[in-house]
Amino acid sequence: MGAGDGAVVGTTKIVDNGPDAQRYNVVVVAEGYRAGELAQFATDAQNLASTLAATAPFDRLMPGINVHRVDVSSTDSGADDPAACGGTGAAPATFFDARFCNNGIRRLLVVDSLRVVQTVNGEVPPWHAILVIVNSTVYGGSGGDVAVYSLAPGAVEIALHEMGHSAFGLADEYEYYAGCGRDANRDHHPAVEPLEPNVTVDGNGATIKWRNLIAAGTADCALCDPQPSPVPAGTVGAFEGAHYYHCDAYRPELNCRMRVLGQPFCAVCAGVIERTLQPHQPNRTLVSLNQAAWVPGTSDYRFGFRSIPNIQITGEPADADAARWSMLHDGSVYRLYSFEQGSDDRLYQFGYDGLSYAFGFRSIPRLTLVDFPADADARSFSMLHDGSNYRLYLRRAGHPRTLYQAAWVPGTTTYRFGYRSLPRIPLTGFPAAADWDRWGMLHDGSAYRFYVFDSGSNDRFYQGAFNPATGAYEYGFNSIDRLSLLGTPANSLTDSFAMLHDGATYRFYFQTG
Amino acid sequence: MRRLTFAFRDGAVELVSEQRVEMRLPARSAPRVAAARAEFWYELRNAQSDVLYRLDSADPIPTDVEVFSDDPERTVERAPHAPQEGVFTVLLPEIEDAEEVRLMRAAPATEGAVDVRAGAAEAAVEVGRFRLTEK
Repeated sequence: MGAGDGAVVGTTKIVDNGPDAQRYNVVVVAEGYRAGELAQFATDAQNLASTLAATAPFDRLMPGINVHRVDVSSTDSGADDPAACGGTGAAPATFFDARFCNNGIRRLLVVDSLRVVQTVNGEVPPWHAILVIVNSTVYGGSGGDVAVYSLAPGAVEIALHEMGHSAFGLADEYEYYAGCGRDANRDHHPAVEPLEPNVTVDGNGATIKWRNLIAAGTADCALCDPQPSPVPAGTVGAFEGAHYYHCDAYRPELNCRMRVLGQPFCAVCAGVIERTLQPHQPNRTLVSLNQAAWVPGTSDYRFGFRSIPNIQITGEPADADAARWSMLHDGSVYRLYSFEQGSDDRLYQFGYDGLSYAFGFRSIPRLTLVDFPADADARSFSMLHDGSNYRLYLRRAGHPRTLYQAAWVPGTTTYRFGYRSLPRIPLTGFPAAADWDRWGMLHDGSAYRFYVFDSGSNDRFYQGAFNPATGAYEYGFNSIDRLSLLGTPANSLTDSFAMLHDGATYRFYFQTG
Repeated sequence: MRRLTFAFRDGAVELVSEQRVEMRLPARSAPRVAAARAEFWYELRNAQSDVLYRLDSADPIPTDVEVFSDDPERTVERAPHAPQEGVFTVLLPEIEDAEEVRLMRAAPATEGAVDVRAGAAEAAVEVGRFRLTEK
């Protein structure tokens, strides 16, 4: 049984919200459908897409999601259902070898996941999540890079739960391992903080990962199953019992899809999903900025410190690209820039008018980048003003440690590569964990500075500065090498940031969503 | 981006395919607290073995499985079962002088573990190293 037992028939985009290179791509794969049953698979795949579109928070994120259906025919219908597990003993010949009773567990339905991945690599190369529907009404499924579920009522919940793991990095929130009353040595979670965002060993409401969502006074570590919830549904706190342990580990709400199938995602998990999918959203708009400032004498930037906490952005063109933006202060005006959507050489400019960043305020509203090398990477950029020149930086594609520099040509609307600039500047010594998709720059009156986030973190970033002796931005040079963000508001979009120095204060910005 | 597809079988890991893909990466949405500990990570290294890039991850080679039930009282639980074979993938950035990828697993956790990045070199086991061929 296997690849000789069927064929890849073709792929259809059943939810088309734009170019695959920009959207989040969910791929639904058929298993155990005969050629004559592929129309039924089309219906089953459409049902999955409809379920996704009706499930919070995906319901409001669908504009950023494409769904693809990969039709694969099998010689026979269904999946192996060994009699040893109480099944029918059926052993159909199917393309991905679906079978129940893995490891002697009837509901553990698995497929040849390598063959699935290889198939999808060929059919939909920019895939993000793979879901296999097995044409069987016996309840079952499994997880991993490939989520598998059957057509039994409610089994689609398996797919949603498994997407929580594989696509969004969420942990299981249930407080048992093999089952309540059947576990041994599951009383106390080890005192090691899990990496995942929705479980923690920290029960302190002031420091817990999801502290931004906790209303005052609701964090109560005494709340533990099997009590019914003593607080209203949707209350975020620190509910003891999570991550396979009864005590010393906490989950955000009493219930969540990552704890019990059929429940909605809790606020923390929903927030994680929402932030994860932000880069895929079309027509994402520039709404407002959350502002932080450096706390002198520390390595911390604190939101709201010496700052207007939130500043609106007004008058933005409909096609301003909110995912590609930067800021600077030129000695008199705070400025914000964004690319035009779909363009790698046209910028919009905003100025701070005392109330908001207004499009065109004391600004040339539209600017153009010229003469950049063909391998300039315009997926992100940064800008600064050094007291003499407005400067703009791109990175070299495939060389994240190489900056391309341009400067504004006075009297024109153009930034020209190499104009009054070192055209190429290396970045040296930065940690391997640097996230080269999230970087920013500023000039503070004496030094050109470069910042890059720690990969996987939204509150730690690295600093370096330009060393004229070497002609490079060097990690830690004349700098506090590691910086932290404190008090990040929950509505911050952390996939990009901007920084500037206004002559008095180092400032940091996240957009809001 | 560069998508690497790995297969594991009886404890051995194999790089099955290497594919360049034009796609947008999802955001890193999880705010990591200082004490959080990566259990697995990928390293891109150059010819001099300098680490150019590191990506933390959950361990992609499972030691147990999630089991689902249509019993509403116990919809999901775990069972100790290390699959003998399976697949995992990773998306890594294009870095031109990257020559190889290494797969690293943290040594077993101990109570009181602290920020692995702030301190001395973390104890780790190399799961595999693979030369990148797509240039």
